[in-house]
Amino acid sequence: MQVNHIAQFHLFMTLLPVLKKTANSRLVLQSSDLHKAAPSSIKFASLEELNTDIGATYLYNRTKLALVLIVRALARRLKTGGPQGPWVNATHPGGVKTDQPKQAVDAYGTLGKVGAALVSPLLKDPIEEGCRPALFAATADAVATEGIQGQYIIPDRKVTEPSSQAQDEQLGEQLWKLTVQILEQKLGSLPYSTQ
Amino acid sequence: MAHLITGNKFDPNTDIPDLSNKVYIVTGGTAGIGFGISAHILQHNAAKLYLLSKKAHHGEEAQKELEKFGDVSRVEFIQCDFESLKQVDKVAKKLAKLEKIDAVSPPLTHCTASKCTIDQS
Repeated sequence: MQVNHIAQFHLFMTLLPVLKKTANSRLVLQSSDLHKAAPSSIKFASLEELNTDIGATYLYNRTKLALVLIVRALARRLKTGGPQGPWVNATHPGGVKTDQPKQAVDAYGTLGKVGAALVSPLLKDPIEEGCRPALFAATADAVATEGIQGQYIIPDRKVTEPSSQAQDEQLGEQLWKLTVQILEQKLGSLPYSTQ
Repeated sequence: MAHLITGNKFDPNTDIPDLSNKVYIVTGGTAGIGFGISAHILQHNAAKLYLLSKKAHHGEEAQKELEKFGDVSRVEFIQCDFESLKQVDKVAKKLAKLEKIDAVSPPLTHCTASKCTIDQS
């Protein structure tokens, strides 16, 4: 959870003032369609819940869910991007050939063991394909002209609905609260407003 | 909406606008998708590209590989272990002093089961 979510939150919140003063700036969080396979029992209620081992697969799915929830929570706070603030979105890269074995699972959209070697001919090249949604979200003018804010983007540039769990505003707010709580515990007072 | 006409296509080679004068921060930008993002950003003329990653040698390798895509004098590698909140805090505060940041893209996906607990450091 740490590497995927809490540290990233701290990074982008610390950088938010600079993003806000840079016209048409972007924040892109790389999620995954596997957020849809996150356990429905997730509450983001406490550090104990986050530290409970639910297995590598569910941990991955949960962190990917967290990224979508956080992007939406941040978007609620920012309203529209443009001259005032950054455009913040989450992306799904599709099945991509990288060292991340879960990308192999992305290609099939299933849980369970899929030998990376088996699927690797079918996986996309990260330089040609896997980075498309993220690059779209980070650089395309269309994000600003079409007002793409707090969205979930799949290859190449398609805005689509994440799971209903990911759209759960209450869950998102609880996650925000828990994230801030953990950061304050670890770092003391934070150099940004956490509302 | 534009994409109803152009379809769902975004080819990084042709559809990324000129990124002159723009500053990018890519975490995990030394390998995999992050590298892919970095390569295209550099190719399209970004003024500055910060790559954040845990392993210094990944940073060096990435800078070498990025030579094929553009001017690597614009690339700065910052070693940052995202499992250490204190390190992230330090790097974040340093980057917060930048005049402008056009995009932050963190494609970090490293999360093995044993590491998915909140660190104590």
